[in-house]
Amino acid sequence: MRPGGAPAAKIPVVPPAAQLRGVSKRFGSFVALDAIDLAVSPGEIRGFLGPNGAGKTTAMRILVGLLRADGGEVSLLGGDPWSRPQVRTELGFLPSDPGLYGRMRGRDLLDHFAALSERPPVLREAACAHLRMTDEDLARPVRTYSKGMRQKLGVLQAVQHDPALLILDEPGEGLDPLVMSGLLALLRDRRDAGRAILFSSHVLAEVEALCDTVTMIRDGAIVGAGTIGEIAQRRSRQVVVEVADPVAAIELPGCELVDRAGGRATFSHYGELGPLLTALAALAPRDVRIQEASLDEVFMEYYGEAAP
Amino acid sequence: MSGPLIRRLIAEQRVRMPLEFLLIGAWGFLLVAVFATSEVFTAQLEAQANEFGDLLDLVGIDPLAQWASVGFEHPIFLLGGGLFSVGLAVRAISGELEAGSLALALARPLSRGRWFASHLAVLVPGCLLLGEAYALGCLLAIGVTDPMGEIAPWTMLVAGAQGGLLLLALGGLGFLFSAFASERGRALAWSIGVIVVLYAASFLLPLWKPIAGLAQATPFAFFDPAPLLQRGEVAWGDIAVLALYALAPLSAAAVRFARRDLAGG
Repeated sequence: MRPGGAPAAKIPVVPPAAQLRGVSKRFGSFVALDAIDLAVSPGEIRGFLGPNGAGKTTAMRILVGLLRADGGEVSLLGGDPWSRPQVRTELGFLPSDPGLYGRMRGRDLLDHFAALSERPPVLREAACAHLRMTDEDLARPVRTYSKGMRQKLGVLQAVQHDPALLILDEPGEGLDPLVMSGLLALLRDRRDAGRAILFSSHVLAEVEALCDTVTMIRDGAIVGAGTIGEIAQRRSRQVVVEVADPVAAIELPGCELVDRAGGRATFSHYGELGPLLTALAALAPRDVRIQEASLDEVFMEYYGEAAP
Repeated sequence: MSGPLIRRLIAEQRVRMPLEFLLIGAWGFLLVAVFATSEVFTAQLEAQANEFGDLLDLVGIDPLAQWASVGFEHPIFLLGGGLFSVGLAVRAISGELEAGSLALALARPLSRGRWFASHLAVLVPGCLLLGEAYALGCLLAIGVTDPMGEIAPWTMLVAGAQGGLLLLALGGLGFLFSAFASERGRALAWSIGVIVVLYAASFLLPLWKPIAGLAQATPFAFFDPAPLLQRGEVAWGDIAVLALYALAPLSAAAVRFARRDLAGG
């Protein structure tokens, strides 16, 4: 188990529950997606990360069948969601800003969406327990709900019929830490039951704690994808070396000099640690500190202009 | 069509629809009651009956029927019915898209065609019901106040259905703009703007002979219940044209909705 709680990712061999292959989308002259690939398989939670306006929501809406791709292949649960609405029977979807009918009571709204899904709400009770949603809450009109309560109801309408595929666009928005923890537990539980989950979030700690795999998108293009472990391996290390001679040349394998002040030098290091340690030992330094970049910093490198 | 969706739409109308029905019914009742109780009208009618009774009978003009037909074409009837038909149509696509609820519904095994058809399943009977509300209001007032003149109840009910068809045509325009727009306000503004222009054109254009024929381009030109109420003549041609006026924008809206991206919300 990783510190975040999710077990080490297994590379799935079953067909993806949802897949985009070379999908492009333009809005006028604006290229929202540029031939992107994205897939999520049963038993997998895939994090979908990117800065605002990167194309996450567009990709998710194409997967659901709300937008039509200009090019490429779209597959949702074995069919094209644009032309075959019936494939969405096994889909649970939470958009980034779900519109909930304010005059309905919470329970009536859930019943309505369950009826539209043509599936019984078999998971509602368990999901309510995870999200700390009480019967009294569900008996109130939705217009009386706080933002967090509305978000919980949005999550409930997506998961209550235990769909084979969940597409959740920032489900943690507005949730307090306690409820967020319940949501993560609920999603892990569904993953363990073989459900496929595509999850977008800006909170990197959530992604690290929950997701098996990650796809990162920027300016409509995929800039990185892999397991959390693979992404973590790409993280750089900060190496600070202090030697007695303030003008001595310091050459270290795999390192780029970031800063030099007298005998103290700071480097970024990528790659194997062994050759670095050998070179450091040969230097006979007065002090050495090696610190791994956090996963946040790795993601930020992808988010930023200079992605590796 | 989708049963759960239709049930939700009906539930949403459970307060507004009866109120609009009562408003339009009250309008019909009031109009006939005023006609029956006004001393001015009574005096005029008695004079007309004495002087021109035979002539009025000859050309088939019944003042009560004429008066009742005016109420059908009055802005109060159109406003009351349009609130329902245009309101429902505008909310159906652009309103739900803007609110973010359309994405939740269409992420289910519900096709856009079924979504559209379910709204029509509420719109069509709703329009007919509101058309009949005016007819029933008039008939009730005739029964209660016993005015001078005569209207056959079946002609009133047919005129009510024709009025419902006109409301459906207005709703069709609402659907068309709703299918193109992503904001409810924009769809509503376009719908109201176009309907007001068509309404004004229907009685202003005939005043200028060179372009008088253009008045025939508006749906209002095909809704004149007076001959039906006075002489029992059903204008099947007008009914067919009104039906076309409703069908054309509804069909265009359905095609547009089926093909468009739903990026808002």
